[in-house]
Amino acid sequence: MPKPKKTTAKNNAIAPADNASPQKDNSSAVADSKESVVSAILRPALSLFLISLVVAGILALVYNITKEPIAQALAREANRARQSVLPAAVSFETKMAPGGETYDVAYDAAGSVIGYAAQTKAKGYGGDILVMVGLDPDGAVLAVQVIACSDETPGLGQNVKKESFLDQFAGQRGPFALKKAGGRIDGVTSATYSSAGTAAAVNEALRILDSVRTKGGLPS
Amino acid sequence: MTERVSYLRELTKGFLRENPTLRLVLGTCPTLAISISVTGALGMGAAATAVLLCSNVVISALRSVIPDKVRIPAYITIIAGLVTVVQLLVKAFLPAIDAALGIYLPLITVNCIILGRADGYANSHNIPAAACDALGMGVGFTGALCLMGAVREVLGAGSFAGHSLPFWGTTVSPILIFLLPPGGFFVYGLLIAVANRISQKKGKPTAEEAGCAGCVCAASCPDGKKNKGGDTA
Repeated sequence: MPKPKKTTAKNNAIAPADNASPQKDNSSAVADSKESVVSAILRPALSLFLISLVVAGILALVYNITKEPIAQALAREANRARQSVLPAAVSFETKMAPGGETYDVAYDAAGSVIGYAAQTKAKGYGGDILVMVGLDPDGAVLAVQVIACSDETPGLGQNVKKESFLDQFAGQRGPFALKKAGGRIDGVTSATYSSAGTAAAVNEALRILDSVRTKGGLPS
Repeated sequence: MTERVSYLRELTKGFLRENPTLRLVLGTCPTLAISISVTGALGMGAAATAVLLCSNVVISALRSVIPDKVRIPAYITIIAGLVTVVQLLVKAFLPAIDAALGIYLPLITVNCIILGRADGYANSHNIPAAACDALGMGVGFTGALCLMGAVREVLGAGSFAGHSLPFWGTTVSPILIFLLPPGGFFVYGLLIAVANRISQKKGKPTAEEAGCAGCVCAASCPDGKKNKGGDTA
């Protein structure tokens, strides 16, 4: 009930002449308005401040506890994606391409290079399509995996995740284009943009990895 | 004895009688968006229930401390904090659920069910009652979401919880529209109709009548107050 109290106090302060005993009423009005300032502004502000402070403290605590597991989960996820396109790899080394993109070199147990992997994205129908491409040392595609395409239409564009589409890249050399555009990739039915986006992302990965392969020199 | 009966009532009212999704029609955005698969629906329901339970308990505990004037910002701060905690925990320990829910996990913050229960129930009831209410509402939300997810996934993708079904989906091609937004509205509308029909048989008020008490504005709305009084009586 702070609101009506405040209004009365204001009215009294503005028009004290209307009152029979202005002196007495005035002083009580001042006390009243002081009290209403506390209850109308200070108390809400203070309690909101305290709630925010406690929430921020809890968040800082939880953030610190979960920081390490989240980093581990992300690393596991990245490793799983690399492993899915280069199943034979025992270890990976992340390197920087001349253009600033990162890529991975895959080694077998003996320590020789058995392939390369790069993660790239290209525009699909609804948003970016994220793919992981694995390449053998000769430059032929080993496997392609779609890491994320959550903005594509479910049931249509999201079918680019299916093996029947992605297997068309395996064992081939780029660049890739859809059959509609004179290439050899059979696009997913009713999902030309998503299919073309996936092919474009694969081409981008090939571009990055080819520059690395020819520059870095191949293990014979 | 009467206390126990009323707690049981508070718990079960969210299952069907005042189901937040089907009767109060709250939190429809995540409902329509996430109900394309049973797994996603279950994850969303569990995360929202956890947040709802914590927020109802905290807000009920602080109900005499939080000034009326700043109650909505205070609730939002508490709910957003809880959602972020849940998000961090899910990211750290259940990354698969995080990937399935995507942006809808942080958006639990603005889920109307949670703010609606905070302002419509938790701030005027004691902690055990608020916890019962949250559990009931959470289970009701999860159940409705899973039901919608099952219908849409089976008809639209020909699978159930990621496992493809034997005949449907291979011999007969699935009905894609059930996965798309229009299909979501079709299924949602039909489920609301079914829930209304069941409740009508029992002689309970329809969705519009029951919905007013859950409204965010219920506290300042004379009709809402009347209904809220009726709920708790």
